[in-house]
Amino acid sequence: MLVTVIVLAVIVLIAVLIIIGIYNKLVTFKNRFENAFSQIEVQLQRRYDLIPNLIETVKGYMAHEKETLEAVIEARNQAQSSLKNASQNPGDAGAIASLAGAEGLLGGALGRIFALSESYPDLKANQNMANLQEELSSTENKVAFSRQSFNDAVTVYNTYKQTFPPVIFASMFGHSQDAALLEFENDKIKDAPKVQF
Amino acid sequence: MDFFTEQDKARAKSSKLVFLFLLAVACITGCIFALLSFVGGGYKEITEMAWTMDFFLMVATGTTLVVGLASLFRIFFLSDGGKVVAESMGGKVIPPNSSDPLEQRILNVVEEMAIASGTPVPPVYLLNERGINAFAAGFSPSDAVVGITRGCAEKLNRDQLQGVIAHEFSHILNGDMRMNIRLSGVIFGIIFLARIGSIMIRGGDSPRDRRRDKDKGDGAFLLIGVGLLVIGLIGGFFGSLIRAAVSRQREFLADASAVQFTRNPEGISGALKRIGGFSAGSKIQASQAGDYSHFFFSSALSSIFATHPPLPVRIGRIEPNWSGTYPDTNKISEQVDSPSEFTSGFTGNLGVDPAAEKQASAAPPSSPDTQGVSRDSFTQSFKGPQRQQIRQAKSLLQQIPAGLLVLAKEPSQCRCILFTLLLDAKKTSIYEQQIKTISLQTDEDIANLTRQCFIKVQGLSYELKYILVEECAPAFSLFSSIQMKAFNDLINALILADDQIDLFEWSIQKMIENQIAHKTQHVTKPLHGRASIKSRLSDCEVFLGAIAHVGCNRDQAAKAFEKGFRSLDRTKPATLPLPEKCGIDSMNIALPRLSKMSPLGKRAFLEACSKVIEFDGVLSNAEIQIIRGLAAAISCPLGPVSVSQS
Repeated sequence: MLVTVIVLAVIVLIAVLIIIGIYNKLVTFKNRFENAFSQIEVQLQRRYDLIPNLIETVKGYMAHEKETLEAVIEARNQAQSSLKNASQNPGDAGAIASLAGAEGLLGGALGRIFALSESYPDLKANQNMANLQEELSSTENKVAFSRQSFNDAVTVYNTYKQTFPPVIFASMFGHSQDAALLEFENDKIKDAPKVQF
Repeated sequence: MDFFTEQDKARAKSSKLVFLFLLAVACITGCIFALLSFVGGGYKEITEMAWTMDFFLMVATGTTLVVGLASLFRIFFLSDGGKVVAESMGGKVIPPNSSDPLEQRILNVVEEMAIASGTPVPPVYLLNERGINAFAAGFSPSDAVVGITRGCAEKLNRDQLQGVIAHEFSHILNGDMRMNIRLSGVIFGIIFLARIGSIMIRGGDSPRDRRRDKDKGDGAFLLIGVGLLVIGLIGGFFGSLIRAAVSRQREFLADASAVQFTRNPEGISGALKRIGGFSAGSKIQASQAGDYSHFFFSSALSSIFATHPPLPVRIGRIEPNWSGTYPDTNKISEQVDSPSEFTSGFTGNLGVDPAAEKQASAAPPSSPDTQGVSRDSFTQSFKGPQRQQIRQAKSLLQQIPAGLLVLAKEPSQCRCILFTLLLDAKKTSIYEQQIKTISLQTDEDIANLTRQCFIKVQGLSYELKYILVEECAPAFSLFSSIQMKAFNDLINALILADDQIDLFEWSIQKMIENQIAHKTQHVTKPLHGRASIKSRLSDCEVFLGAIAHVGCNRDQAAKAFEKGFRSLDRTKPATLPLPEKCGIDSMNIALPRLSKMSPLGKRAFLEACSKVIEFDGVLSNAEIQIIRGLAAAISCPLGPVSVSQS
């Protein structure tokens, strides 16, 4: 009888420890991807800060393209507020999706400016413009790298949540939602020429 | 303070503590035995067995299992590294490329301290708390993190901040964290008994159980629960008292070291005074704070379990004639002079950064092959950073082109810096092949950037190159494990591109390995072992021989070697090993064995190394390379050693 009690107690103890372990792991992984998001935030914010400079530079040359410029500013403000929402809760799939959407719009609008600038030789020769363009594209790479790191962390979290036994306890501990990956629409891939036979 | 001796002392102290704790567990077992025997009435078996030896053994096994398992589990969880501790308190990592001047100042102070002490720059976490406090957590210098509250950043000036950070670095260097984690583990195990007790009480109360036959056993069950709860709580109480007592001693030590590191008593005492004069004090609101109280700079909780000595006592030890008045911290708000904190703008763009260009050309040209070094600057670096070293750290940082420093803080681009260090400067064919490997495994832009950096990095002295590697550490820690692995593979591919490893590559590899190992593996290697120097003499010979061969000409080498070897062993004949016997392969075999030595053994060994190095009075680059690789691999941080002061 007593031995049974002790054996049972030990089993219960091990079970409790495992559950505490699962809880802690979930929290750790969640914290980790939330922290990974802060790196994306730094990079995106830097990009948003560059855009007013870009507009300022371009404005003098592209007086007729007012709409395009306004579209960029609009897209930038939109993206900035999405970023704010997403950084408050990087685990929220909706916030991440809206950030991805806003980023897609901004990317498209910026692409249009750079495409247009090809037809303004004076603007192309402007040193400031060249610097800004270079800088924007280098932030792009940094964003890509930190996004990869964030997505890896999210994947680790989601995978852990879906394995057994954590799958039983995850929703109980308030980890019911899978975290969303941050994917930006990549213009390069979308615009790749279709092969025609 | 000499941190090797301190570590040995800490070790002795912790074995005393383990004994105290074993005693505590034994007492607890006795109590539980008495409890069960006394109230075991409900169960026939217990009543029959009560007060017998067999029963005692059974209880002892049960208790040890429960306490042991729980504490092992806790230690396992805590030993995941400093990251976990910081994150479970809600800390947010400060991005190494932050644009907030307040955050930038913290990063700069931490950086200077890290370079001065020769440890990799730790990631810094910001806790959103009003109280003035800071903590250091982690098992070893390479997986440590530093945490700082918002209050600390806003209410302290730069000198005071430096004092606080120096205090935290003393904890890191002394290995206090490891001991604290173990103590916390055992206390958790003991308190776990109380949790079982409370589960039993609640379980006995639940309706489902009440429906069952209400015999005497139920009452006894409840009684045992209450008994366990009381025993667990009392055990936990005394355990925490012991832990707090030890912790307070370590705090005095850390305060003293902070003064020694910065040579500026006003810094740390000013910080303590501002805590005293602050309405929010040093309190931490996070629910986990209690578990981690001993990690902090100042008491996170105000109770008799204080892990820190009272403020007036601490200030009094630093400033004996202190008047006892606190400043009104509530009114203080430190303004950060932002231009001075940013070494350069955030233009991140290497090619067009005029400031960086200017500084690059102002930097001294490639240093000569040998530099004079005063005798004690090398041995002193064992003792932790000195004020002068911190000042040197600042000036060393200024010698590195600002553009490179900015890159070192970008997670995606710090890779380029490490790549450039491994590129072949002599053979263009190998260089091109390496660049090709980089662009294949990463992308075109990284490869181009690496080319650009290469030109700048080439002009730096070896010591500055090592500092660059250390500067990359915080950005490094933001890699995901997949990125880390890809990066590590690429590094190894670059090193092997020319089918041979030279000394510099070897030491860089050791430094990177040392930093990566703690981030990819979850197993925590002990920092030091217990092996004595006598059992590792043959391994020491390899390194002493290598240093003697590269540092001196043939006639002097034997004498230099003998001088170093004699300081380790007086009886054996000191014969200089042949150059072939102390190549990189032999060093690689000897390193893991050397890292298992005790801290005192390591110090004796490093001192022997310094004797060999100083024999001819000059410090060559090859010697720096061996020492750097060695120090990284045996977890003995060394500050910048080549700074010429003659």
